[in-house]
Amino acid sequence: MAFLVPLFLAGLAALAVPLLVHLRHKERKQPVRFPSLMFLRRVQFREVSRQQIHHWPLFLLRCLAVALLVVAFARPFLRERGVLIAPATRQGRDLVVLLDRSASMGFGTQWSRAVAAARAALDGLGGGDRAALVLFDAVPHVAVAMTGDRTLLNAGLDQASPSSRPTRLAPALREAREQLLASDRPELEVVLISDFQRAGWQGEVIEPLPEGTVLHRADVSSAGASNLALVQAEILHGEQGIVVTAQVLATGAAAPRRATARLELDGRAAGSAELALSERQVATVHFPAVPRTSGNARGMIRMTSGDSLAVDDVFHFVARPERPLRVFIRRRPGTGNARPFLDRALALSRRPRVDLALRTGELSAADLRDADVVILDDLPFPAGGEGGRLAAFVAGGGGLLHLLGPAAAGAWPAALGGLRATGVVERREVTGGTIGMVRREHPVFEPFRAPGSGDFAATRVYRYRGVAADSLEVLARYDDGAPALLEAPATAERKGRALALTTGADNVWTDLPLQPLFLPLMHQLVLYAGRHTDAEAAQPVGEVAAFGADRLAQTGAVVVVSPAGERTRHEVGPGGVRFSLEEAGFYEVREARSGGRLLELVAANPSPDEADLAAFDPADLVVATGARDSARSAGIDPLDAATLTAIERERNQSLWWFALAAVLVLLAVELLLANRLTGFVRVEPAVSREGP
Amino acid sequence: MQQAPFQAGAAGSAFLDPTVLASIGNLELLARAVVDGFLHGLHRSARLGLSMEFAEHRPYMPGDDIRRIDWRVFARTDRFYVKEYEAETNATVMFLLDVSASMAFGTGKVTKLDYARFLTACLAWFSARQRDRIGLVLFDHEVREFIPPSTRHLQQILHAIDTLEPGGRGELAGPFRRVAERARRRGIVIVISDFYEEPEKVRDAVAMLRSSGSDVLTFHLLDPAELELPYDAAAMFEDLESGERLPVVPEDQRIRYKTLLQTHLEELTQQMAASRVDYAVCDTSKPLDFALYSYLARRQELVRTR
Repeated sequence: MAFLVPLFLAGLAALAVPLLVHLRHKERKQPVRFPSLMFLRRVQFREVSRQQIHHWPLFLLRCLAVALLVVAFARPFLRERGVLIAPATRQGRDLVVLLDRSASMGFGTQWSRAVAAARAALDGLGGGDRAALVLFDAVPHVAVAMTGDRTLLNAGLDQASPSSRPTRLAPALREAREQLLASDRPELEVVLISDFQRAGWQGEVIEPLPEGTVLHRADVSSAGASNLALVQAEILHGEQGIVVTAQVLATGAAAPRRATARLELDGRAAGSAELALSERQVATVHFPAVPRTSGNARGMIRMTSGDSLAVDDVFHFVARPERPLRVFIRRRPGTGNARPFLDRALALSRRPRVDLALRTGELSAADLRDADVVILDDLPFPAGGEGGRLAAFVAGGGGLLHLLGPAAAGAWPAALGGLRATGVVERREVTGGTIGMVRREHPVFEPFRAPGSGDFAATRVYRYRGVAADSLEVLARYDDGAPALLEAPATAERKGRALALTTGADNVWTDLPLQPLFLPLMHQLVLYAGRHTDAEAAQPVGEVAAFGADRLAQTGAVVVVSPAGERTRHEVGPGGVRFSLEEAGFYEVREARSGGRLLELVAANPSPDEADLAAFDPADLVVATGARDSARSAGIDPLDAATLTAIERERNQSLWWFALAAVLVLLAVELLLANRLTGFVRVEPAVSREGP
Repeated sequence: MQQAPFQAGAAGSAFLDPTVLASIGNLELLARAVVDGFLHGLHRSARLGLSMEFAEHRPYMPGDDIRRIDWRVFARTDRFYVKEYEAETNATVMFLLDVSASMAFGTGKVTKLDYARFLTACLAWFSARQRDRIGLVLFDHEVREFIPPSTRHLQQILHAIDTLEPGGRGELAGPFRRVAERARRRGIVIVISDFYEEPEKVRDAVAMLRSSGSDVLTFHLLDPAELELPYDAAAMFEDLESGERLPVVPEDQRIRYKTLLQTHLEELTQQMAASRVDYAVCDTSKPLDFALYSYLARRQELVRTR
């Protein structure tokens, strides 16, 4: 049994009233006129007796009446369906409770209301009913599989808590469908408890729930919820040091317009900034520059906003020391400054910064020792010692980008895949050829994956060098099918990557350098060749953190320590190590030995999607799932979330009538008992004379 | 004391209820109604054999005392006849009515003083009907009013008790001494009081009335509230006579109070019996018949023994 208005239970303090009544006798103000005090004088009362409780049965009766009255006002209701409803004709049903535990559920009292609604739903199970408890955020998690054991279900609910993940309703509804498809019960119901964040439902197409399934919606969203959230942080390495900027997103009309943000690096205060949002919903906070750090530093931005969602008022990031990409460009003598497009494109790189070194002579071993990437700009693959050093450089992990221009005849060594440059192909069309096929899923084209970006078809190619390379992967082709970009990927024997662009990087054979995509393409080619992984300052919770095997070299296994301190051992395979970011905070990747060295640091933050608390109409879900709507309001009343009909709900809440009836009976008994105990009703003496 | 057969008739007993009597404004009418009804209820002829002068014979009727059957007439006629006597008496009946302030107490429609007034009126009417000489003394701690005994003083007495007002502090010894000093012949003395004095003092005071050879009947009037102390709330109790105040918690003191009162009544009964004084406790919520019957029985015995 629970109470709809538990606040009224404070009225139990009124139990002090009968206590005082029984401890302290009523004393009339007006004296009682009595014929003679002759006998009363001899039986004067003792004061101490007034401090004792007289008439215990009467006292307990009065206490019980007061308590029942308070309970009646607190509106008790039954969670036990079977107590009053006695669904004798009902067969068992299967119920799936979908409980949203995304980060946004931590707003205000949403989580406690959601748990109350889930508990009401579970407590409403009849004798033959079963239920499954599914907690969901971005992914569903079956906390308790379909069972009729309420203790187990409640224990699962007790252990639930909000996560830092975003909301995704579609996977949760799919999981509910899977649960119900395995059911053989005639009555199937789903209780969906969520704040129905707009970001959690993209109108996905999902398989309909089994026929006849009733969908109950318990909307625990807070009307007019407003929020101020830190959604992103950026670390720039400037001349003054590290400059941290953070982006703040305001949602809701009543979102705070002013806030204070404080920056911490490795637990030390590193500056603060005032934030003032005007009409804009997004603001950027600039912190003063701080000195560079030698290693990875744990950075935190704390915002004092006063809103009701605290989880996004803290942003974690990792401030890493700057590591420039060292690129050596090898050119033919006399052509040192003849490629302004390529040089300027690479010089503009800031993330990471590219240190360019130009060589027109042979690359020495010292050059290659310092280099990350070597670009062979329109010259054949070097022969002799330089070629051997270059092949060894690539085999050892270095990157090679060969721009096959007019002077780039020749072949790669077999260790690099054996690419052979054949002849120059001239496109005779007036408009030239284009780059027709691009494997956009390849990391090289990662910047061009977004729709509408990277218009390679606009590139005009008038000449290119034909190549023969059976063992190389073709990443892009011209519209005539000839390879435009090839890769000799890393293998067990060759740790580095070698790329070949068959049309050069000047604007002689192609207008590629004049295209907007030239700069990002060159950046990406260099970064990819140099196997540069731009370790992000922070990742959203729910994503996967990946570290290549090369970064975890010399370690056979690592231990990942979560923000909560949970340690997970991972074997370092050929693909490195991958692990899911489940909670906000810092993940540590350490050597898998006692006191192991810290290898990597990852900062995880709640998804920015969770910052926007705007809700959508959950009725859309009824249409999407093909379920029958429970036709109940999606308020926060726990009973609305329970699977009771209106009549059942009314019956379950009708206990207060019984309580009031019991109070009336008790008062009647109290009246009789009081008269019996005191012997008579109160007597007012009439001393005035009324003559006959 | 002889126990006369008594069956309360419905018509008569209605007039004995104090609450009914309280609605009758005229004391004489009240007394006549009560006495006639009471006597009719006794199933006796209106004229009782209280006189010594023969008047006539009349047929025996059920309810007549068989001792009054004239056996000589029976021997001659073989029928039962009883002797009727001319109602004539020389008995003196003196009413001593306590009008102290405590008598003004009452929890129902009738105070003790009202009850005493009804009782006195009835007895006086009854006595006058028997041609007794009747007198009245109103007293509290002293004699407030004195009406000497006479067969013609009924109206005076009724007027006096109709207009009396409750007095002050009550005391028995002083007034009774005054009455005893003025008593010239033996008779019947009827004392109506609440007797708020120690039993020994009551006994001594009544003994003074007995000293003249009179028969003394005492009616101890008590209100139900005095008997039960039914109050439910603690309060300051004020003595009606002295004005003294005393904190009282009735539910705590009730039992001891009732015990003391009961002891007091038992002692009074013993003391009165020792002094050969008839003593009766009258609950003012109860009908008058008990008091009337007590008086009637005593009056008959007095006549028979003369």
